[in-house]
Amino acid sequence: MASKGPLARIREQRPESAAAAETRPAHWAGWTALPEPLIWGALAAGLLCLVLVNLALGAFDVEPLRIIGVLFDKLGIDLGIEYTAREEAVVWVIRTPRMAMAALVGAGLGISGAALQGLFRNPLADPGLIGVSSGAGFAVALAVVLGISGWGLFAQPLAAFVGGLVLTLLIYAFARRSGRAQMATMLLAGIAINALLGAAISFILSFSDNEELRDIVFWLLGSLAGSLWDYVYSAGPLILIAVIVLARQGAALNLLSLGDAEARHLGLRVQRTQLLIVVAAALATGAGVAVAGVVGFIGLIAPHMVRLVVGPDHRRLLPASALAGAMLVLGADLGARTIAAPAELPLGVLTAVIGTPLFLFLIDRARRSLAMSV
Amino acid sequence: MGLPVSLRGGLGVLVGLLAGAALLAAGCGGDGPQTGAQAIAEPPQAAETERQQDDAEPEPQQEPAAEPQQQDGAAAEDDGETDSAEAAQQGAQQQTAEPLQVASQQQQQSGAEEEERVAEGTRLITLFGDITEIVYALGAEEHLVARDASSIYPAEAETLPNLGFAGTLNVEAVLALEPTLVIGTQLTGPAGVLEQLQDAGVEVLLLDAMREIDAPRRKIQAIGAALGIPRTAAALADDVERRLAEATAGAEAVERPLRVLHVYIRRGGVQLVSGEGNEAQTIIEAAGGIDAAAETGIVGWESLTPEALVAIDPEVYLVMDRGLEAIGGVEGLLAIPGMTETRAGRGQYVVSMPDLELLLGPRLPEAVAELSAALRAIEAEIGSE
Repeated sequence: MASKGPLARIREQRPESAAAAETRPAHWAGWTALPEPLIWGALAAGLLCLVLVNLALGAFDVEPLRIIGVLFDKLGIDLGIEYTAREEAVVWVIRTPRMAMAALVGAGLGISGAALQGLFRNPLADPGLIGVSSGAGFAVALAVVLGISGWGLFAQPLAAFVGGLVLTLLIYAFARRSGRAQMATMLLAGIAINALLGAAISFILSFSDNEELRDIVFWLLGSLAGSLWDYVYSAGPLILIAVIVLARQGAALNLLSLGDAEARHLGLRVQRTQLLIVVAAALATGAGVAVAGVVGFIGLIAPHMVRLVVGPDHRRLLPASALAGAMLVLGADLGARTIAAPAELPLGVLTAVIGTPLFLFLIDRARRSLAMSV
Repeated sequence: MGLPVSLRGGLGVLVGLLAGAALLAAGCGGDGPQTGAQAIAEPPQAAETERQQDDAEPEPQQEPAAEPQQQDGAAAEDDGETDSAEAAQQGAQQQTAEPLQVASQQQQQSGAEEEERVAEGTRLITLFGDITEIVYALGAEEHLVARDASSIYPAEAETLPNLGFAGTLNVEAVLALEPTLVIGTQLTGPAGVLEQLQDAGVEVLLLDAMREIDAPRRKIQAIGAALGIPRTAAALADDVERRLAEATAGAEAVERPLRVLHVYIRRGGVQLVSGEGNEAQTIIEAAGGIDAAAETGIVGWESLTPEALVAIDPEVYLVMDRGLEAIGGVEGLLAIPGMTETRAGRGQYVVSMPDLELLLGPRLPEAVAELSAALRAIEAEIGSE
């Protein structure tokens, strides 16, 4: 036991245990956590529920039994359920990859938001607000116009990743020049950069032909329409890796929330951890942007919602944010596909419609309880 | 003339297929060379063919051999029309022996003697205004099951389910309408949707951007070929071209062409000028005008700036009805900075046309005639001052 560093020791401690109480930041005080099995059970059940609803509903009517038949056939289990070729196409070529993409993109955005909020020690850090998403969108637009996206399956997600990474590092460096990430500095820098990138994207658009225009506008609106298995295969692994890496940073983020110096004294390799989190968050966001476009608000509201239930402990906040993000995007995309059918609503519009009132509610609630700091 | 009655079944099959292919080539490529497969319409055989088509059963390969005597390449007197018609029947009959997927194609060509028809069961979705308009002009509107937001002419089209902007299709909703054929432009998307539609067995035709004066013909022929009614399409295209020739006849005699600027206006400050390579240039030039923006080197669409406007100094503004309405008529148009500082603005020479007429569809002749008449009137007015 003695050979373990302080970080390991803290990781072992349960927040509920009396011994851990001293290492908790002051603002954790008063938080009474729900039992863990209940939290994870509820989140898993909610996610499963949304996955099933997403598979079951759509503008094209397929009987639930036939959906099951198609899916089991694809798994190599023949249930002897008859279905038409078109129903198979709807379920397997259209709905399933789209559902998978929604869950992946949502998980990536949710956990990136939670990690960035922890890293910046700022509840407003969101991939969309601080310009990471527009950085990724700009990179994608550039990649399309320069023809880089034709280089292969991974070209576009990678371009988005690089764009998102550069932007995150830029803002992080800018906001931390005074030693500690300043909320106002960071948000203002984000707003400025968002405006600049918006202009840059418009500039690129003015040089685009019809086909490029279609592709770029699609990203700016944010949509999961046209999610192919190819996209799941290209962006999915990148997002999954990032989510797994981020989910393991809970203890480190708990230490960082005490302050860089304090975290260093407690044995955390601060710079290395920060870099790892920034890269992973940019990867999750960028890969998501490359396939689904700029989907706003998920990274912002998923952690805030989850925090109400699981509390501020990052070890639980991070994986729970991933699950909540996946649920939010699944729900929003269900709306995008069905509300205006036969037309399609832009996903980004729906997440904004869901996200804005929710966020205002959260702010209001936090203002009243005066407990809104990470 | 004496037709040798010597061909055997197998050869007849081969020639029949060739004739079918020739018809397809002729239908798609316009005035492609006719092949040597000559045919004389022989009523009894034609009737026989009809009956077989009606049965819609795969015919034994030997059947066509009953009529191959026409196909000896020697005779060459018949007119192309009969040729194509007969060839169509033979090609069609040949194809009946093939599996289901070509069944629609050949049924369309079967009634060649009387009337070409789009195959029963064709369910069509059109994803741009000009495409929808052409389908109506071809008389194939009964097959339409949905359209995009831009398809607002003719008025009946607006009663069809609206799939929204063609660039953000809801693929499941599209499939729920059970289409067999989707015709769109290069704007159709998102990209993955096209693949998904094809995976679901829907035929997808995306027309290239066509902005030359022959665009109506090329669009009509492409759509006609996809619908399996190439001769109806060719007839419509001929008609459009004939009317276009009439409409442009007067334009050639213009002594001093007016410099026309096409301005695209929408609510919310969208103001663009149209330059080189756009539809408007084609129409303006056909109507005996000069595209003022293209002349000053503007390519494609460019946002309208007051100074650029003054530099272009057009003599006539060409706008679209809906845009003009949106900004409050001519008054609203001239209130845009720079608008009154040109010759067109000082004389209030504004020509407004229905939005979709500028799309180079079947109404191109009307568009050209309207614009041409308007330009002549303005010319007369300028001349009298």
